[in-house]
Amino acid sequence: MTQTWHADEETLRAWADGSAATVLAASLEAHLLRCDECRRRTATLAPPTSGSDSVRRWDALADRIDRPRSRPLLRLGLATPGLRTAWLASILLLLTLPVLASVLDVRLPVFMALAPVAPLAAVALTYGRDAEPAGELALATPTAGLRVVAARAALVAVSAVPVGTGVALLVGLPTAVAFGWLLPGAALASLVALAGTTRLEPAVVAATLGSVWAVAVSWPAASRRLPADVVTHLVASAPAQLTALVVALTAIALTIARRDSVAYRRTA
Amino acid sequence: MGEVHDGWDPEQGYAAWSDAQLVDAVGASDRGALHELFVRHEPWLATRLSRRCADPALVDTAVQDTFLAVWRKPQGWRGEGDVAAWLWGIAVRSLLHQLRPRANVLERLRHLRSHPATSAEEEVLARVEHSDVGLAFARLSPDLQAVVQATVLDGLTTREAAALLGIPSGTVKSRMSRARTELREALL
Amino acid sequence: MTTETTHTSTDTLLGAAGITKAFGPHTAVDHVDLALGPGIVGVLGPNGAGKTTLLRILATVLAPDRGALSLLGLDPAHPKARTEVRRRLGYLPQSPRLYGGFTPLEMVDYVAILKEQTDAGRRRREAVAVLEAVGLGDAMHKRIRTLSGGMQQRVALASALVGAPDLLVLDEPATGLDPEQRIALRSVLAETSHRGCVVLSTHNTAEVAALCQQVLVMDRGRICWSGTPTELAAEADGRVWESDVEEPTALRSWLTGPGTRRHLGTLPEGAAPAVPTVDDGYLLVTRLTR
Repeated sequence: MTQTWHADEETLRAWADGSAATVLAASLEAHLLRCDECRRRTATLAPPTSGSDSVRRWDALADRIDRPRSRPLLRLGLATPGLRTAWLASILLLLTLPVLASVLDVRLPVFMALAPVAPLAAVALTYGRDAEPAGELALATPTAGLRVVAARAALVAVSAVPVGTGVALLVGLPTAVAFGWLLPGAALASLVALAGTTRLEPAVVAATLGSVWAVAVSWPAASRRLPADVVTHLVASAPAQLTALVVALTAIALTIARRDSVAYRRTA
Repeated sequence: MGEVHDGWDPEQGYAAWSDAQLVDAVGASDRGALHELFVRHEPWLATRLSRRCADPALVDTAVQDTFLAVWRKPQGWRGEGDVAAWLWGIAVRSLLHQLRPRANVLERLRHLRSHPATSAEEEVLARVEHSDVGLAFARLSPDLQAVVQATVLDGLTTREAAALLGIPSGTVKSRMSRARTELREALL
Repeated sequence: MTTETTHTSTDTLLGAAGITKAFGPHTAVDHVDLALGPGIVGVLGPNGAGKTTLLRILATVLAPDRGALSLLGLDPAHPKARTEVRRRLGYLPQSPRLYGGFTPLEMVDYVAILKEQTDAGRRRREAVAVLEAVGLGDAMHKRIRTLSGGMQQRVALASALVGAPDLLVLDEPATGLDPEQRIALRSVLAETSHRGCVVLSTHNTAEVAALCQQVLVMDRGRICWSGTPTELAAEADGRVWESDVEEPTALRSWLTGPGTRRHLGTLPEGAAPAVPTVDDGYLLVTRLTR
């Protein structure tokens, strides 16, 4: 709605430099709430220094507005839903598995068969196409390659460790079992990481390794050759653990040696 | 009609948008819309605040708080009335908050018994915002205010006021009496 | 017709010798030699000519099977040198798939982090500046998934530009841009081109004429011509004419309107030569090398 009455220059100027009487100022201010034209005129009639004040205030405002929301996980690109899902899924799996294992009292060594699969799946997902927010663009940056993929995988896998172990202990699984899944899990996960340096698709390797492991661990109990807890303790025994450790270390060493193949592989 | 190209996109023409449209666009995170609102309203807001508070740092903070509030919560404007009025509400509240920060619970309990001492700034604020005459005057419609300003504040005669405002003398007289009535009622 | 690009500047920012890359039986890049200095160079060629593969190699994203590369004086075959090159490199892939949940500002800031720019304040100011340069000043806080395809492309362009790289590798940056936007792109690239090397690819001769100071025509993995856009048009000087009949002696003919035809080849008796365009030169050059 355009106003029929507008303030004259004298009034505006007096108001702008602070010399206007209280009541007149009040009247003008009430008018300014409704009249865009007079507001525009105050901008032009204001003292010359106020222009730089406006610029200064805008710069300060822009500074506040343009601050990206702080995302501590941003550096590693854990901002994408794909990676967050991987992280949550593995944590969830490790939360529920020990509980299931002790509650359900199944013949199959559920915990030992499936717990190592959690870090495996998480690592495989970090190689996924959607794991990198910037896509192919990121491949031409200094941090491309093994460093960032490994950092992501490590972060996801490592944060899952206390969860799995903690809940297993809480629920009352034997200590050997509660810790016994770690090295097999590490071995499987590092094999997937090694696959990332070859032409093999990490997701496929992860799926294969995961199924093979789960079946191999469950088969003796399923076919009634051995009871479940014997298998579990076999896996948790020293020789098995040592083997897992050797496999893990070898795979990691090879991955580091072949680290330059990681980035290039992603575009073929 | 051809659009003006600024290079990458046709010019947005924020200058033609209404305040309401700009606030709407800010709701969609449009930084250009916020800038236009700033350009339109910061000058008068800063001046009006400066008339209440001599400290320029407090004025700066109040201005920034106002536009930050617009950016973060544009839905705070319910769509009724002038956007300018909404902005002033935020600005003056921010200024008041800085002058008299909200006391914590203990202090408030301590002050229940006695009235807290008010500073000179607060007194000025109170006087202007809540002065009877000021408020009543502000509530008059602009044409009544114009007449009052011309005759009472500027000391013009009825004929001079009529010439200045471009209305018949009779209208000046009738508006003056209406203004008088309204002011009297408001002050009673 | 030369296979080596000559340049007036004394420093070669980008050098390549015998770059070859094959995918199985298909050779995508076939013994490419380059010597590029500051400026904007366009790699012009049809789809499937190997432009994307070549650009990936120049951006250190893909390793060549054979050949030597020198980017900003460094050899990207060595990991440490490659990392150093990448600090001063900007790459825009052909179909950048950016995470839609970020805002343009967040994305450019993220890529700046990847480029190892550690000062958060400076990083943010540069991100804002580069986004304003590509016309996203008003939209920088909107989620990328809410932006149009052209704007999303510009977010990727801004990500490539952040940090003022000395080497810019842009794969089809002008696709979908109208003539005014092309001019805007040219001015955005101008600053980099004064001190650094900009390599862009396209299959559109109009883009090449508008954007590039130098042209490399690429066909079936090889660079078959190099020079300026004007020189490319001049290749067809005296070898292009128009008529309204079919000309069996022409190397190539096409309709330019109802009844009118344009022909490339040896000018027949009495025919008046038409003013050659970059398009004519390009068609002639690729024809002649087949």
